[in-house]
Amino acid sequence: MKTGKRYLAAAAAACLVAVVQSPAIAQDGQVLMVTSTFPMTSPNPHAESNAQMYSVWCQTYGCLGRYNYATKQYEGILVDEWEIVDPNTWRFHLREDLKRQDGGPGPTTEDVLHSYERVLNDPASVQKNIFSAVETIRAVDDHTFEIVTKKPLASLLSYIFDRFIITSKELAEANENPDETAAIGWGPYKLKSYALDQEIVLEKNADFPGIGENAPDVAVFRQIREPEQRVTALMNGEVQIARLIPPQLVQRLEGNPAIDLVDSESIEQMFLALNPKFEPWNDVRVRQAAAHAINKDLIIDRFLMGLATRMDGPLGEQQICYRGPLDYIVNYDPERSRELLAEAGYADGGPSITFYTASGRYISDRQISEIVTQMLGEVGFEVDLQVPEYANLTAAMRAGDLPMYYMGRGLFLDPSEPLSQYLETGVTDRIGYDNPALDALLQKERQTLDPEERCKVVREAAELISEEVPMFFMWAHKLVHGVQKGISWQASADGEIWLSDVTMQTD
Amino acid sequence: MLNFIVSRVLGAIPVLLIVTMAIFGLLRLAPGDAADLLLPDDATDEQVEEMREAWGLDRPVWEQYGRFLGNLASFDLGESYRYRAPVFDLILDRLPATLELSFYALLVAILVSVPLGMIAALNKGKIIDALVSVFSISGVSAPSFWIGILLVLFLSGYMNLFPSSGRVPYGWPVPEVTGFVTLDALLAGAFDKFVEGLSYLALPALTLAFAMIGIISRITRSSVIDAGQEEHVFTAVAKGMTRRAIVRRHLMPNAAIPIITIIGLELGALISGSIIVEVVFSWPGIGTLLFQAISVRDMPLTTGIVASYTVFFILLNLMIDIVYTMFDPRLRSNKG
Repeated sequence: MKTGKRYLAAAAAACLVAVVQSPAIAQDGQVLMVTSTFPMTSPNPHAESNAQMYSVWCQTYGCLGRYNYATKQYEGILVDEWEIVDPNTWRFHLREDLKRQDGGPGPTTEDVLHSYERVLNDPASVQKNIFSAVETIRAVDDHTFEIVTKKPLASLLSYIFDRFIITSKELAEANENPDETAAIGWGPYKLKSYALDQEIVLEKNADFPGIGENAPDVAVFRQIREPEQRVTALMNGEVQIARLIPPQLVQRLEGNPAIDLVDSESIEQMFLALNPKFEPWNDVRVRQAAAHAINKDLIIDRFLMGLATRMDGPLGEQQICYRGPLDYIVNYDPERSRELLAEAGYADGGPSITFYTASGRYISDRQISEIVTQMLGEVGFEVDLQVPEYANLTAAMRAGDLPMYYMGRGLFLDPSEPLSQYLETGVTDRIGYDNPALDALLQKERQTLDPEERCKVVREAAELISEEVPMFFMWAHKLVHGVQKGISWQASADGEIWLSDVTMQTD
Repeated sequence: MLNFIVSRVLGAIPVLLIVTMAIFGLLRLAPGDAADLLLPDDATDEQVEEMREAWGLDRPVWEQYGRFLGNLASFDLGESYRYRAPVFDLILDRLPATLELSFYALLVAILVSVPLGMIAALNKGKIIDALVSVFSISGVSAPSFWIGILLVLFLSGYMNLFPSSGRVPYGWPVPEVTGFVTLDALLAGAFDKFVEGLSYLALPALTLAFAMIGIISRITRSSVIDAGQEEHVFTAVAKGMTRRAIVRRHLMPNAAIPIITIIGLELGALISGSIIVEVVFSWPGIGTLLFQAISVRDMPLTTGIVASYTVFFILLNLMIDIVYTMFDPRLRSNKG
C-alpha cells in the first residue's frame, strides 16, 4: 500500500512538471517560426508543384527571379538581365556576383541546362508543365542562355521565372543523392534540414549580396494544416508568423496586443464555371441570368466579413494587364435575371441545374455555395447542390463532366495561362466553351510582345468573357496572416514569405 | 499452442488478400487517379498521360493488383507516388510516432477507465455511478476531432499548458536511438526533454484516449457487477473476507477477460482512430501518411499501409487469444 502511494505521488509530480512546462520554444533572437500548410513530401526540388515549395526552393537553390507585387515588376535572383531576341527567343544573363553556398562557383549555363534536363527527365519531377510551351534551352556562353518557345509567348516569365529551380550540375555529378547530401545552391538562404511532413529549416546565406542584417538567421517552416492550431500556436508563441487565417478565426486575434494582423490581396481567383456543353448553360441568357442573380457584395460584406475583393471579370488589381475596371460589368440585378430567364423560355420557373462544389478546399466553399444556391433559387433556378470529395470533384472537372461548379484558380498573376486553360477551344475540357473570337484574342495576346499592346488584347478578351459568362468571376479572398510584434513583414498577393524581406527586431 | 499460432497466421493470408483487393478496387472505382491529383493545374493532358503510363496506371486493375501481390511476396510494398520513396521505409519511419502516441493513449485510457469502471460498479445505483456513466457516454459519443479542437482551445489556447501541435520543438537535441521521443530522452538521461516530449504527447494522447475511456469503463463496470453475482463471491463475503481482498482476489481476475478483450479490440481502433487525431495535431505518424496517400490516390502507399494495419490487427487478435490463456486456466487446459 505504501508503495502504491509512492507511485501515485510520483505520477502526480510528473504530471505537475508536465503541466508547468511551458510549451514556448527556446528561441535565440533571430529564429523565425512560420506555419506552412502545404505537403512537405520530398527534398527533391522538382518533386512538388505548389507555391510554398517553389518559394522555399527559390530562396535556397535559386530561381531566375520573382515578381514584386509592390512594384509590379519581375526582379532577378539568379539572372540580372533578360530580353526578347525574336518572337520565339528570350535571352537571359546569369549574375556573376554570386557564389555557391559552399564557396563553389556561381551559377552557369551548364547548371541551367542540367536543371532543365532534370525538370524534364527526373522520374520524380512534376514540373514539366512549366516548359510546356518551351522548345529548348540553349547556351550562348557561360553566363548567357536562351529559351526558345514553340510559338511566341508573351507571358513566358509567368511560367518559369519563380518556378524554374536551378541546381548545381557539379554537385549532382559528385553526389549519389545530391538532394539529401548536397542541397546547396546560390539563394539567399541555405537548406539546413528537411523533415518530411514536419518542418523545413533554412539558414541565412550571409554571403548573398544585399541580404539584410535583420533578416532572420534561421527560419523554420513548420507544417500546421489546421487553422485552429495555427492561431493557437501563434498566440502561444510557438510560431511567429501564422499564415492563412480564415475569416472566422480572425476575430480571435483582433485586439491581441502581441499580434499584428497583416493582410494582402490574393492571386487566387474564385469563380463559377457555367459549362455551355450542358443545358441550360448553352444559352448565354441563362448564364447572364445566373450572374445577375448573385449578390457578391452581400456575401463579401456579411459572410466573408469583408475579407475578399470583388472581381468583375478576370482582371483585378493584382493581375498583370489590369488597367482599371472593365466596361462590361454584371451587377446584382434579380429583376434583370428573371427577365433573361423568361426570354430563355423559363418564365414559369426553372431551369433545373446541378451545382458542384468542394467542402473545405477553399475558404468557406460549401457555405458560399449554399448561399449562391439560395440566391439562384430566388430568381427561379431549381438548384441541386452536390458536394463530392475534392479528389472526385477535380477529376470530374478536368474530364469536363461538371455543368456548373465553384472553384478557385491560383497563380492567376498573368491571366494568359489560366484563361487559355479554361476557355480556349481544345486546350482542356474543364469548361466546354467554344468561341472562335475568344480563341483568336487569346492567341493574339500570346503573340503580342509589346506589353501595352498585349494588355489591350487581354482586356478585350476579358470584356468578352465578362459578357459571355462561361466563367463568372466572384472574388479573390484576402490573405490574412498573424504576425507577432517585433516582426516586420509585408505580405504579398502570393502569400509566400521571402525571408530577405522580413526584419526581426533585435533585443 | 504452436499449432494454434501457425493456423491463425495461415488463416490471415486470405484476409490480407481480401483487404488489399478491396482497397485496390475501391481506389480504382473512385474517379481520378494520382497522376490527375499530383500534377499541377496547368499540366497538359499529355503530361498527365505520361505520368499515368510511368506508374502503370494505364494498365488493367487486375494487372496492377497482380504486380502488387508479386512485390508483396518479396516483402516489397512498392514506391509511393507522392513521396517517391519505398512504402516500407515510409511506414517504418513513421511507425514509432504512431506507436508512441498509441501507447500513451492506451496507458491514459487504462489508468483512468479501469478504476472508474470499478468505482462505478462498487457504487452501483449511486450518484457516483451515474456521473461515471455520463462521462463514459460522452467519451463514446463525442467525435475525436471535436474533442481534439476543444482540448487545443482550452488547454493550449486558453491555458497555454501544452503545445498545440507537432511532436517535438525546433532544435530537439536528443539523438534518435529508438525513434520513440520519450524513450530516447530517457536513454539520453535528459529528464527535462522526457517531460517536454510528454507535453507534446499530452493533447493527442488525451484526445485518442477519451473515446476508449468511455468504452473500457462501461465494460469494466458491467464485468465487475457480473463477477460480483457469482456464488464464490457470496461465499467469500460469508467467510468474512475484507472488501479489498474480495475485489483483488475474486472480482478482478474474473472481470479481467472481458476487459482485456475490449482493450485488445480498442487497441486496434486506437491505431485506426489515430488517423484523424494525427492529422488534427500534425503528428508525423502513419495516420498522417495514410491521409496524404488517400487524398492523392497514392495506390502503393495506401495499400501498403492498409495491409500493414491488417497484419497488425491479426497479430493483435492472436496476442489477445494468448493472453486469455494466461488469465483463464480453463482455456489453457482445453488448448491441446
